[in-house]
Amino acid sequence: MRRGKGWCFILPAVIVLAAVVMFPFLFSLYISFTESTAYNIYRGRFVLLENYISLLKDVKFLDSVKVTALYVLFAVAIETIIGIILALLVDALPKGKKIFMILMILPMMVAPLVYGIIFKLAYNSIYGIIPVAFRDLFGIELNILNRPFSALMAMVLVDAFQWTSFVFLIVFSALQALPKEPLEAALIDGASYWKSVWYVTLPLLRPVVGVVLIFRIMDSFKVFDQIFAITGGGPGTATTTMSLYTYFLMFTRYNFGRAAALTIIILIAVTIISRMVFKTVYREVSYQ
Amino acid sequence: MRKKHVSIAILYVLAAIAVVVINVPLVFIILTSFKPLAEIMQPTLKFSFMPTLENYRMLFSETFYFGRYISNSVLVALLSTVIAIAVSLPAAYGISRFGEMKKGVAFWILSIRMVPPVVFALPLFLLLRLIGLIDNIWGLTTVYLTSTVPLSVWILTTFMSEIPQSVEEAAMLDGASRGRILLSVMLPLMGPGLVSVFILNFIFAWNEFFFALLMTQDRAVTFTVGMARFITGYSIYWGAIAAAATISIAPMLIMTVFIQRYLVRGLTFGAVK
Repeated sequence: MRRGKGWCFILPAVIVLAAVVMFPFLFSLYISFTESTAYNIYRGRFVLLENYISLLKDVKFLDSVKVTALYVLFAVAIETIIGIILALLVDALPKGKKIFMILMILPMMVAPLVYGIIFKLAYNSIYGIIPVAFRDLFGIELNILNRPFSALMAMVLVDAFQWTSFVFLIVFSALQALPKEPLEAALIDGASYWKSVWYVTLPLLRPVVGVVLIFRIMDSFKVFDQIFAITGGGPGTATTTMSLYTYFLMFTRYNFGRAAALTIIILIAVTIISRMVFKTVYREVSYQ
Repeated sequence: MRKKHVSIAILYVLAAIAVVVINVPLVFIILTSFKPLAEIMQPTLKFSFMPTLENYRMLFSETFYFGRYISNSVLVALLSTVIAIAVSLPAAYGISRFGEMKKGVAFWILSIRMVPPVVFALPLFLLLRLIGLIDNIWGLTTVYLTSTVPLSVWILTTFMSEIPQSVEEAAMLDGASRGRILLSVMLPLMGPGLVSVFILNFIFAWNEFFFALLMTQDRAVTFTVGMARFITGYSIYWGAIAAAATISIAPMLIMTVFIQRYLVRGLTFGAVK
């Protein structure tokens, strides 16, 4: 087939993406080299790498990197482990898998902001259901959102409640497509069911778990909505992730130059990671 | 044999417990939306209450503008979905039928999916401000295209690749042009693909908060931003906000049933089918 014709079909999408993605990136790059603030947004003085250098010396930025890393680490670990267990559990049911599957994936269809609202109410230290339950049942006063570490873990819990269902769904679907013979062979040889799952099914799932990890890492890295709603980044900077910090740089400190530099750094990191992903994961599991 | 029955029963019990636990937050907010405000904010544990629709009545009263927030959300979702499908359908055809460029374009689109929205937010905000499209439905629609176009191209490509070449070769022998084949041969076969792309895009736009928070102020405020305004003020109307959350959740739960077959493909960009 002739080559030129293919591009005619792709052109409209490429033009749209160039306009809403590529051009803004270039603009961001330009802003990141200038001293752009609320007073001179589009005509800031050219300062070369000053924004990048000051960012690397910025304690709050380094804090946000740490907070994000901890958040991603805990959230993804919890979601992956529980999600895989739930997928194996539902897959082991002889009948009614589908109805359990649908009920299990409801959380991830809901707006993350709604989860923020739910847990803002549930964590409230005076009338929230969680502190109230601890007070009435065990006589313990909880101040979940007032201490740095417990506030961060509270955010992780919100993430886990919503996104375990994502891990579940992907792993469960992969289990449906997996060949059944290796497992049956192990069972016939007299291995117990869960032992066979551990030694036969789990190794077969490795590439899919790779995909899941990557998507969860990338998506929890972006987290904004729930944290914005529940703590607004506090107490102090204990729950200020990189997305929240960028937001504050932009819209409370109006330091557009430095915010742009930060987005460029995020972009470079993400591009490197997604290139690695594309090379390894998509070749293995393969789309087509 | 009996032992086997018992262990299967245990599996069902465990699965049922898991389903309940994972949905506890949703059930909690839905129940809360039917509670009188005084009972929501009481500092003791109590599970029985007199259900009321007062919170819903309050939500749609004059003072809260929720009707407008919801219609803004629906409008932006529809616009960004329809525009995305219009440009993505030919692109998907091009990518699936002219193989050479598949890899390059595919990687480019995947990396856009991976970029955190905060990266787009700053330049798009400044550019929209420059051309006066802040707090404008069309401005927000433009911003949403950064997500809806890559998603649509990718999913439609996977659906298009499943349609055998022979279908269009027959039409080509009859002298139909490529554009015509796309419209009158391929399009009718794309039903499930189009429906799932439509729903996935709609879900994205309906649930989106970050961009809407930055790009709207008053006239174009969407549902999620409207809800967030409720909980950042001094007095929080928990009853009304629980009602709003329930209204936000309901259509998503219904769509889950329709979309579940194609959900995996959409979420992982075809990495897992």
